[in-house]
Amino acid sequence: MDWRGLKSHLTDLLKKLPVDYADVRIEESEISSLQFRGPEIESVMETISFGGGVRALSNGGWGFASFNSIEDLQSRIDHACEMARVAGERRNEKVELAPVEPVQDTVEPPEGWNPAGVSLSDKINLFADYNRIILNYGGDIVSSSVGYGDRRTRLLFANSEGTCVDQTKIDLQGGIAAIATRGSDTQTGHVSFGSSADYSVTQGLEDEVTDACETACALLDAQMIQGGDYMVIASPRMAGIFAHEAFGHLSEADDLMEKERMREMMKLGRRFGGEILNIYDTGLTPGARGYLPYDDEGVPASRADLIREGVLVGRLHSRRSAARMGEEPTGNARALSYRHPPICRMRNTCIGAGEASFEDMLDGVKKGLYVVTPQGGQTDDEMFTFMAGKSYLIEDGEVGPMVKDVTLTGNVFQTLQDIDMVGHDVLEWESAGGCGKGEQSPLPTSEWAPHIRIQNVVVGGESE
Amino acid sequence: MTSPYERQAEIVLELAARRADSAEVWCADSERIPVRFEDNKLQMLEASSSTGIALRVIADGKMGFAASTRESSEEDLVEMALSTAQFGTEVDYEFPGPDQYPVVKTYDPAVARLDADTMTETGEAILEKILHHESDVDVNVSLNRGVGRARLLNTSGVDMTGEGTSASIVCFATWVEGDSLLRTGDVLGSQFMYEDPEQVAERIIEQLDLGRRPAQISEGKYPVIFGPWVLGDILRPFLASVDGDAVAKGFSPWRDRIGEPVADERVSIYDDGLMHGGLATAPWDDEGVPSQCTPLVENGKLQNFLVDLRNAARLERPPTGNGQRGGLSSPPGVGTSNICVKAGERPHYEMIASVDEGILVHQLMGAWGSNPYGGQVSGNIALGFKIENGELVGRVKNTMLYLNAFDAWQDQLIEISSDVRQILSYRLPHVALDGVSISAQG
Repeated sequence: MDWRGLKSHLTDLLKKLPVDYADVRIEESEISSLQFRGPEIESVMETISFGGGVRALSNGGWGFASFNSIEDLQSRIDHACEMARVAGERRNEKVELAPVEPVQDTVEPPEGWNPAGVSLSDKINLFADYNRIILNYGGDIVSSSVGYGDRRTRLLFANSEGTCVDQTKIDLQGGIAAIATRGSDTQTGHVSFGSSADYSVTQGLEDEVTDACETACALLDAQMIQGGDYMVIASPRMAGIFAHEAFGHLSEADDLMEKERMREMMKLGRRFGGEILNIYDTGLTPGARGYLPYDDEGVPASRADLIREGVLVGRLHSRRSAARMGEEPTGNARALSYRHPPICRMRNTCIGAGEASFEDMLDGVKKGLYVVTPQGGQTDDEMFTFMAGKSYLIEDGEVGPMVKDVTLTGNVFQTLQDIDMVGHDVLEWESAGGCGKGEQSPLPTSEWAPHIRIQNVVVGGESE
Repeated sequence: MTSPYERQAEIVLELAARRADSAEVWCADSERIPVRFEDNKLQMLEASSSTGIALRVIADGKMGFAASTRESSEEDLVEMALSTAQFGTEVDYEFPGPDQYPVVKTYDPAVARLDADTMTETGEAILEKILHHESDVDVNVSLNRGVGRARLLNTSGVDMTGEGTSASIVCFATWVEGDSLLRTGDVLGSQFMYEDPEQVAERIIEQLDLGRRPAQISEGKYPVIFGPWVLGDILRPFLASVDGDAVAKGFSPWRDRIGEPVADERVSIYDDGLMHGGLATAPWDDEGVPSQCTPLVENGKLQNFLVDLRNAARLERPPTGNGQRGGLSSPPGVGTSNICVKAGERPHYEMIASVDEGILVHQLMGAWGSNPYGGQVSGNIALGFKIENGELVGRVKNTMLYLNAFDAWQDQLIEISSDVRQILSYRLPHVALDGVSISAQG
């Protein structure tokens, strides 16, 4: 691919289009991945993904066309403009995009050990070693799942305002699971890692893998959680998922901008929690999977404070939502790939450090739950759930026996008020997988947080 | 529609055959034209065309895989696949040869003819109907039309091309009052043209009317009726347990239970690769194995596991046509096709009328995250209605539901409805289960 020729060609094409605004993304990714399931390697593969997407805006109507063949570029640009024109005729209103200074830039990945420099056989040997630790562990461990994948992407963004950003990105991630079975019960223990820069995060995981085996076996012996209300201490990893599910999604402004009552509910200045509570989203943490020097509208990264000292101070914007709500763009317009138009998404969503220690949090807890390893979460903006693998009961201020099958739920507004302690121990944790919204999943995100304590959380389980 | 890769496919297969023991090429094209309405207004018209090629090779008895959506040289693709085969899984089966395939309709010219204008009008009609009844809601509608074509060739002599269409409507309505949110949704989706798209609006209006009224339920065990849309969550432990891969690896709790009762004898569940209009319907699976209807549980007894070629060989069972690709860049693995649950005796509204105190559940949040092999289903009732003395009285909120699917299908089944709904790749009834645990914030 002649990227330099493409850049000037694109800039020319975009100059003279019969629409209010247009942008083009051209993306090429080289992806390699491997997966062990039990003693066998289940798949090893290399794939190349190439394609582009064109977005055009006319009279408030959008058109979007995606394609695989670069020869289709001109015809897809024309098609997107035509669709925008048709949509705009029906919609017929002026739609503003928040102004952004046009920029020409080239972006390389952050410093680090580039996975592209590691041979496929070295990667396989490394993960085969981790797989062997699980399979040789013994006890009730019957199988394993060890997966790794990396992706190197060249992404060219250009718009009709003269912005042209040429980025090279890295994303790597993996998940290691130990599977224990006894009779009809199966439990798993997990190790998860990720980075936007550095293959070295794959190294030295032996002790964590052994821990995952211990966890899987211990969960077989753990008692089932009794459903009901609990005082909950969330580990940094669980607290990160909580921030993402319970507040991050609600802050995505494209879902708010046209809904009057939602805007009322999310009015800046509203108090959401105690003064100890700070939540922000940032694209400025190199190495995090949510690192995003430019978003998919060519907006440079920033830090968006969402809750400062308990008060709502900002949200996650695209250029469209920022203009609609009269606020500044934050660089949160992201697309899963060239196949999709950008929408408001999270990057690295963090809970700011507080002052409490873990011991402070345990102090005085009569009946509580310490949730340690996350297994996912979901929200509908008002309610959220998140699922925990390893959890412990807390009895009279002490961490007690392990329990299993823990699903927590809550009302976002109530639960944020119920956070009564924030730890000083922020964990800069990266994991595999990603975030889903609509059809666009999984998008790499990060969640950094300390331990937090929440007064009153509903936990699902057998009723008495 | 012809793709550059269709012409390349034969060249790639020939090159790969020279250097590997055997090879398989899969190339796919699709064209989708989504129309999106957001917040009661037309937002975006889209056109997405995709095309690409995937190659599997077996070299020195090991499997390799490569795929590309870039127009690169045939040699490069073969080289990539061969390089992964050095490290690939050892294979003790072959790509299947030509076979007898069931005749099944997957292409509807009426869907292929759908254009953005027509879909925009349909979307507007749905919007107007909802807003006419409920003026204070925000509605999103996305309509989609897909036309796809896939060609499969292998060195065992298979060369087949299949064509399919899909038409879908996804609609969500949001109602906000203070800090309280109500989200209702409905979906139509089939390989064939929908007949009455406005039924989406009718179901949403019904849910909005009922959802505005709050209802209370206290902690305890209740009869719960699961609607077709949410039943997938309650079936998930079953589907995970019949997955041939989980059986071969020894962690499916049903690994040794073929022929044994695993559910109430009124329960029959099928994986039907031939279901009329089902989104997963095709004459052959993604490895070229003929599709079929496989009984999973019949009259409560476990009948079969679902397998792809690899797990068929491992388990020494006949292939079931469940080799599915997640997309162009994923190699085939075990996947369900269309899932059907056999209907029962009475329509669901009569089932509701028989409940003194219970819940009708339409959506669960987070239930997909429970451990399927243990049977646990635990989720927040995102949309559910309280039943009192046989009547739906209002919405329950801030409530968790918990059950063990293995126990519930066996010992807690009240009844299955006679009416079923086909949605995407499912055809499911309402199912009433007794003694379901409900925890509420107290």
